[in-house]
Amino acid sequence: MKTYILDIQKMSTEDGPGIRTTVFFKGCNLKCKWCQNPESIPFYRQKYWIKDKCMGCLSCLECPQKAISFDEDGLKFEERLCNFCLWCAEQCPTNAIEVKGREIEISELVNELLKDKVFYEKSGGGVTLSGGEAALHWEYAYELMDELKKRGIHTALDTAGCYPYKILQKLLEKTDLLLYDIKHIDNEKHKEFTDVENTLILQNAKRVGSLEKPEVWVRTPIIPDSTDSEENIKGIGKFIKENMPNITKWELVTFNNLCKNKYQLLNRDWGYENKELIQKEKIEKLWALAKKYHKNAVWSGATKLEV
Amino acid sequence: MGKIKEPKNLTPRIEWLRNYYFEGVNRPWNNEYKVFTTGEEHDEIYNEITYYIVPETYTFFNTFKGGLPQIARKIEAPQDFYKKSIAERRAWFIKEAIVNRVPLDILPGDLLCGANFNLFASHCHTKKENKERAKILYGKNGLRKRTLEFHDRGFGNCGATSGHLIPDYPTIVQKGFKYIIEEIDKKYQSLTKSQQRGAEGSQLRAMRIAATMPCELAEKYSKRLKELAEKEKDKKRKAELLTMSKNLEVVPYHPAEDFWQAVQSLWLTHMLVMTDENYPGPGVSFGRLDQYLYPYYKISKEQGMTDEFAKEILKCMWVHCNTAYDAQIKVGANQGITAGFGQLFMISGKGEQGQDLTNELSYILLDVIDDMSPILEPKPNVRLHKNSPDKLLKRIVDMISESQGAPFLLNFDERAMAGLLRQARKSRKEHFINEKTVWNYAAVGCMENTMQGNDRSGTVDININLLKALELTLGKGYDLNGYEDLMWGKYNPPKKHSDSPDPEKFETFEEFYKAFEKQVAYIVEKIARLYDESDTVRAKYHPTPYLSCLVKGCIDKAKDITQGGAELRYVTVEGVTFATTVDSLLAIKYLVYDKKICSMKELVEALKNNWEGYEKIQAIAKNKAPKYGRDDDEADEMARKFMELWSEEVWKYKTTLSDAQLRPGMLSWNYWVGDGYILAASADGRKRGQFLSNAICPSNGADTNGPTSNINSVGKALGGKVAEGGDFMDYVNYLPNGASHTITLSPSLLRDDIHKQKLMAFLRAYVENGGTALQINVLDADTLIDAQKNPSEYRHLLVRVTGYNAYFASIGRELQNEIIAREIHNKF
Repeated sequence: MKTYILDIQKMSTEDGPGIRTTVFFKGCNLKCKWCQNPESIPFYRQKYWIKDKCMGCLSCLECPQKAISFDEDGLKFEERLCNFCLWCAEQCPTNAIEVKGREIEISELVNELLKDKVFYEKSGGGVTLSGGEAALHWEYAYELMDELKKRGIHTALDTAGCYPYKILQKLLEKTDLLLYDIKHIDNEKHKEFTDVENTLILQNAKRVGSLEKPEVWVRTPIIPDSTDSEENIKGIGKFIKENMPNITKWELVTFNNLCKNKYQLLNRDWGYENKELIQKEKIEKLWALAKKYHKNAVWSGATKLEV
Repeated sequence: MGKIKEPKNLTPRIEWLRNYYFEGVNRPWNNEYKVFTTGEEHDEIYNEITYYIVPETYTFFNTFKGGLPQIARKIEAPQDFYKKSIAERRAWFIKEAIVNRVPLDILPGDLLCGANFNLFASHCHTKKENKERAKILYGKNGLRKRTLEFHDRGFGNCGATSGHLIPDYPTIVQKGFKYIIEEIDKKYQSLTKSQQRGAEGSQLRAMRIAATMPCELAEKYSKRLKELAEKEKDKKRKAELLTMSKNLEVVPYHPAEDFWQAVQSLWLTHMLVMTDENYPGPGVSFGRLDQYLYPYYKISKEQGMTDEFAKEILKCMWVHCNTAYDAQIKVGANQGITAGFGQLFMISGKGEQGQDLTNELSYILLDVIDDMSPILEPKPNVRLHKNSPDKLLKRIVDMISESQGAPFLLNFDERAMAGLLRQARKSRKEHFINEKTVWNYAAVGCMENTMQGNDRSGTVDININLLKALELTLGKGYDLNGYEDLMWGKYNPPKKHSDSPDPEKFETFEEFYKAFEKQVAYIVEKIARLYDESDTVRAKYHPTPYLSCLVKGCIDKAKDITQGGAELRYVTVEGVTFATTVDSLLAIKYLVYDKKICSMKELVEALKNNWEGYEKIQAIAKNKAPKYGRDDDEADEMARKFMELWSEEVWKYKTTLSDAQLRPGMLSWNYWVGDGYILAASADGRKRGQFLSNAICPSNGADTNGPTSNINSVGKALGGKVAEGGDFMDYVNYLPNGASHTITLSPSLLRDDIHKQKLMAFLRAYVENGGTALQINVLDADTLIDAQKNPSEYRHLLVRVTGYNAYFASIGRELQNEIIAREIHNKF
């Protein structure tokens, strides 16, 4: 079986316990305005031209489909001519033409993930499936986790939970740790910021929140002027307290604008480009609040520099 | 400013001594070279051979050679001096200088004696010996000229150098020089009259003189301390001076009775090795300090010594070790001459049954390192293995997280021992190195593994640029470029060195590789032969009778260590440019044979022209060809295969007079920087003038899959693990002398206990999959600023901002600035 993934990140220390490898799947059904990995949203592969890497050799002009031109603004893809043979990216000497997304067989992916097995074993780590939305590749994800578990590797699924519970239920058979995102408790705001309602997400949250197995952590991104209100934290906290008795950790993850160059590359405006990082004082306040609702509330991530 | 590691927990005594040391040239006292001559017109003092491995010094040879006798003080040679052997003359001369002509300084508050030990002493040659030696070295086609050209043509460097071994200190501490003198006498008595008159007799007589040197020096110090004590007003200090005086009545002649005496005995014995070799400290290492000093620590603890006082004694020794750098204090440390002396000691490690040997003293030593750092000497190295305790790992990780980089190197027992057992097999020394003894190995210099007390391990004497073999394969046996002689500015055109077929004729990469194999054999043979010449000069003209007393085998054989006296004798060929060579092989395969991007002819032209006009091929070589260091099995197999190839060549050679086996290792000191300007452009896309790869590390920036992949690749290059037939357990190690490996981590990966536990696990995984020795850098703001300027050099650098790690080089400049600012303020 094959599917599209965006990236494999080794020595990942922020996506669950121990030392892990995180597999980023391609494609997401949420469109969070603050998305840190905008290139993970489409299910299809994308190609970019990265000006800083280009040496100007113009060898890409020999495109078999004649889908590439070059002018004073740089390289242009003629999308209607491109058949995505990706000859251009393959031959580009400096990798200035970059393709986001690659198709990979489960067996190949498993082999790649097994290379760090000893690091997982020594650290209590494993493999985290993330995205995009890994669960939307559910057949693949199921088989992948099955293969990993057969080899004794701890699996974690990082998900936004916006799909029928049947899918999640199936995946949980092979999941050791669920990292479950709850971004906003207010349905309208949720729709405004992520393009989808939170009804299904919260429904699923209730179900996973009372399971004996697997272990579940809730994660809430703290995004300036979007999810960082006390009201939202209180709301999520209350929801967790009432509906998710079995979760073992609630993690508040502060916003960063590291990805702004990705948006520039995609030629897209990004509403968060000029947002400042969260003040440390503020996150500590939210954290204190969160702790009232869950004993193991933690926060991580960057805060605004206080000079 | 960044959080720079500061010393801590220093008592006023130690704080004063440490500060005083760092006053450098402004100090009224220093341990500068004291220079002594016999006063003969032909007398020479400087032995340039010991500096053949330091190319930065080549241009100073004549200055030192001519200058030293002019500033030297004369010691009148006694009658019949020149009728004796060189060893006897040197033993007498050095003893006379250090015992009777050098001041007996004791610094305020110091708890240890032995301050002035940097010595430049006459070679003590007769006119005839001097002339013979001069002809070998400075003749028209002499060793100096050929060594310089060898270096300038990019082959590397070699020369019989001092230090880089672990003397048998435990025997001195435990039994004293009394025992050594008795052994010498016993051996002497066992000789026939004619043997006594011959080389064996004169060697033993020389060693006997040398063995009395530390004892007589101790006696003088002891008297001096008594005098000082009489004048001392402060009661406490007076008592200390009297104890110190008493200590020196006991050691180093008699066995040490307590911890203070043990350290005093060790220091005096150690410093005189540097005196004897006229070379301050390079690699003269202490071995497993926490093991052989432990019984004394325990005795003293029972007698009421506090841990704080034990630390003070050790900290005094730390200060003493650093004064080795005073040797050329006025010249300054920037010449590369006085950088990195590497008086190494080991902490922890395995015992015979695989059990862990960490003890209270191991932790005391770690405290001392932590309290004293940043400071250069001595250099700690912590041995880790499968059974290392969590407590030790935690302490290590805490120390790493509080420093800019780990204030020690980590050595990994299983992989290291595999290499030493392979070495035993290859050199037929299984009776000395076997499963019952190998656990007691230690490292010298930087991280070079040897046995303790009986091993003449010349670990940095031969430094070969492996890449040169590839250059000769591409150049039909010729250099690809000529070079300009730095001394005279003369251009020397490419020269033919060996026979190699026209590379354009090879139809497959396999054919190319076969030709390459021959050139690897050629360069190894060439360097082995050149080295042998300098080893011969040392064996004939530069005995070290004092050091010979401290290495097992020399008394038994009545042979100087320079002539093969030690039980174990090895010279390391340190492979330099490993990853650059592997990546170049991979690039040749990719460009010419697999993808047919260019012809062999074009590639050779590109390299001759330093890639100028061939930028597109260069970019493909850099960005598209596979690289070592990414846990890519095919690329790493090339690394392993090449490692096996060159290391097997090394085992073929021995030195003539000292009967030392050549063995492979990987340590690049600073050659990977300097020789980057010498070696022609390489097929991996590197231009002439860019750095080469360092030791066993992947090329700069090539390890784009992060630290775990980097580690896995390094382990594979060393031979990895095999279910059956490993050198030790399932571990294979082609490099018995060890392989230096450096990785860089972001401080944010060490920000809290959860992450520190991850690093502990990371080190346990390194035991399984990694190499023999690891240096961990925790990058600081300066590194980040440099990373911003040279992103291609730092493609592997991970920084953590929120929720995940990002590659620093891949993010925009503004964000980089933000992160730099954060690191500077350490607000993560």
